[in-house]
This record gives sequence, C-alpha cells and structure tokens, in this order.
Amino acid sequence: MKHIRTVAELRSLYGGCGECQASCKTCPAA
Amino acid sequence: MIHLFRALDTPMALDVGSGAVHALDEIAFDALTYMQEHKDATDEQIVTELSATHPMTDVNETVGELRSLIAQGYLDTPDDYGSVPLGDAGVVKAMCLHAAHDCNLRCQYCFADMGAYHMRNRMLLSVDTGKKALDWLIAKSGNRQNLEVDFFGGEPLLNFSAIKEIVAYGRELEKMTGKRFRFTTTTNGVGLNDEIMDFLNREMNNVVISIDGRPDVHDRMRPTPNGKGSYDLVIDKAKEFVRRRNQQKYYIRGTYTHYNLDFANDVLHLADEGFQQLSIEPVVTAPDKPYAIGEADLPRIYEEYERLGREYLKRRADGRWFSFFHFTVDLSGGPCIKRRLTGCGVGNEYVAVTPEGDIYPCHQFVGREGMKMGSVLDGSFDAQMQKRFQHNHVLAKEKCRDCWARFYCSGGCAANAHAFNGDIAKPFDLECQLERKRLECAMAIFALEQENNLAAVEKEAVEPPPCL
Repeated sequence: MKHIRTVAELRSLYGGCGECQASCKTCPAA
Repeated sequence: MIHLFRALDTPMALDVGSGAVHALDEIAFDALTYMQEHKDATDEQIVTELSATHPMTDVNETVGELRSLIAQGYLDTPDDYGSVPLGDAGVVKAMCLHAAHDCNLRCQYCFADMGAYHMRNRMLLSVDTGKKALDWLIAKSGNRQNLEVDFFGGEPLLNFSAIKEIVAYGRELEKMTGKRFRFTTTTNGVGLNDEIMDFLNREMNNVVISIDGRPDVHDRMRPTPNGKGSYDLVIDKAKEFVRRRNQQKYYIRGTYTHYNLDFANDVLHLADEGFQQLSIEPVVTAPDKPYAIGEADLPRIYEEYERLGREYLKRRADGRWFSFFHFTVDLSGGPCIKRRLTGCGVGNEYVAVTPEGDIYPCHQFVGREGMKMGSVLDGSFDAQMQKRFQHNHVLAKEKCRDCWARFYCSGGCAANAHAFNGDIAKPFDLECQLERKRLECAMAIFALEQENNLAAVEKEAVEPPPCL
C-alpha cells in the first residue's frame, strides 16, 4: 500500500489460559 | 472504533477492535478523519471533499486502501468483547509478599508511609508467616502452574535471611506440587552486597531497583533517615548488580514529580550510566503536596514524553540502545483479550500479604480501612470482595467503555481509583491521560523503528558492495 503502512496486526478469544503473569505489557490452552 | 492521532510528528491510526496499528500519510490521515466524521459518506463524496486539498489520483488510491483494510478486518472492526468469560473465580496465582514493613530510606513520596504502612509498628515478616503465605498461595492456585511472588516492602532486603529461607521453601514446594514459583524483588538497592547480589541473580526472575535519575533529583526525594541523599549509596551497587546480571531481567525504576518535569533527562542520565532497562513513573500522591503532579502539568509532561521518544529513537539507532518500559508495548502480540480485560488481577488473582499475615487486594491497599481480605494465618478470605474485584474489569467501568486505550491499560489502577475517587470502578483521570499519551508515543516509536529497519534492509538490498 502506498498511503497506509500496517505496522502491527486480537479477536485470542486461543487465549485465556490464565498462566501469564499477574501483578502491576507482556503471553496449555491448546 | 478507530483512534486517530499524531505522535512524534507521525500520523497514526489504531483499530481498537483488532489491535491493528497503521502509519498513515497526510492524505490517509485526512481521509480517515473525514470518514470518521461522516460515517455515511460515499466514496465519491470522500474523493470530492479531499480533492480540494490533495491530488485526486492519490485520494482515490487512499480510499481504496482504506476500504481494503476495512474488508480485511484491520480497520473499523467490532470491539464488543463484553461477553468474554472471566475465568475461574477464586483462583489466586500471584502475591506481593511484604518482607518488611520497615525501610532504610525516608522517601518523601512513599505511598507506604516510608515503609511503615500506617501501622503502629515497623516489623519484619517471619519465616513461619512467609511459609504460610506460600502454602496459602499453592492452596488457592487451582490448576495454575505458574505462580508469582514479589518480595516487597518497605525495604525487603532488611529481611534477607527470611527471604532466603522462604525461597528455599518455595523450591521444595515446587518439587512436591509440580508448580513453578517466579520470584521477584523490588528494592531500593541500599543493602546490595556480594552475597545478596549472587542470591538475587540466582533466584529472582526479575529485580526492580529504585533510582530516580540525576543525583540531585534522586537525593531530594529519597533521603536516608538522617536526611542525607542516597544516590551515592546505591548507584555503584546497582551498576555492579546489573553487570553480574548481564543486563537481563531487571528494571531501574524511577519516580518523577512536579519538581522534575524534565524527567527525560533523568531517564537519559540512567542510560548514560549504563543501565539498559529503564522505567520512570509519575508520582501518585495527595494533590496538596508540593511535589504532586496536577492537570496543569500535563502539557509539559506530554512534551517531555515526545522529547524522550525522539531521543529514544536516536539512541537506539546509533548504538546507545536502551529500553523504556512504557515505550515497549508488544503491539504485534501482547496478552490475550481476557488478560487485557482483567489487567493486573488485583484482589482477584493477585493479592498482597503483610508481615502480620494479613491479606489485601494489592500492596497499595495495605492499611486502608475496610480493605483487608483475610489472613494466611487463619485461612480466612473474603470471597465476596474477591468477586467484587473480579467483576471490576475494564468493560464494567463506565468511563472506560468508550476509551480507545481500554485494551492496553485494562482499566487502570484500582488502588488509585479507590484513593482518589473512593470507588475501584472510577479510574483516576490523571493516570488515564498519562497512559494514553505514553501509548501514542509507543505506537509511533514502533512504526518509526519498523520504517527505519525496513529502510535499512532496502538500502542494503540495492546498494552495491563497496569498491575494493
């Protein structure tokens, strides 16, 4: 594309295993 | 929902529903702006409108590109994630374990009352209570395999001998249960010595050391009990610690206040001192404090994040690489949608435990009236309060529902919401505004670094080898 550059490409609804870190940015379910 | 913005002089668009991020030229920015403001406009109307200021051929191309992205699901995608199940109620998998309610510094802005947490007595966590806390976490963790325990304070290294025993106990529990502990420590660095450094480097997945930046900035807010500055007590120890750690899995974390709104200079000072993993956070304190940050400071702070962003790009390109926490957002991957809705897990998956064995939703809630959840000593636990926190996800917060940043901040800090608005469901607005600005900078930096890398690759591909 000439005018738009897609730099990053959520609808992981794969996710939800609950194993990632909790506590106050950062990924079994398969 | 689409968020259109400029950061670091770069026109950008975030598609909130899919998470897709786009760098735009001026024609695309104008076209998308017009389309956002005129939802029912036909392509012909868009082209007619924009042809007054841009060449018609370019406008036609741009509208075609935008329509293509919409058709592919990278623009204007649905963002109705309201029906996502929130997972297992009752499971706790992370703990902030307060090794000490005492401190060897007297930081002016300390939310923890300079280590004492508004409690009657300064005290240290006993080994027995620490072991009971790990037992409690194992018992509450359901089928989770990965558990996190952060040794916190006050200053946790004042209780190093207990930390060693508690970690050793955790390693035994791992063998018995098959679960894994990810231990971390947050320290002011004053107590670092050879033995402690070696232990932390062996056992801790991450270590956060608090340094505010330039010596005068640090010393003004982080004095010792006798009123002297602490920068010189910490800086060389931190450098040696990071060297032994091979620059991996740590953060030098500072706090900026109204006194140093030129905080980019503090980040750059730390980078100049050789630290590569950096974070600096705005002070959160009562608005009547002279060092508090207020609404009036926001324009200056926004400028400063932009200035830091420009210098960040420059240094990372010229060999003086460092990482800044808030500019490092995994835009191509990132957490799954469920994690984005629930954020840090405060009061639900994540709790704090005090030296007395009391359980609170997180370290910032410790000592606040009505927020005690139970005790690891008698096994009591307020399941109703846990449920209240579980349901306090980002989509349940009225203010967050229409915010473009909701899948990145996850609804903000519940402790700040509680402190400033008296309600964990009402986010602290100043925090929201700062987070949005940092995210915009992070997205622009991501796009600009990608563009520079692409340019470098393309240059390499077309340039002939130098004549010998």
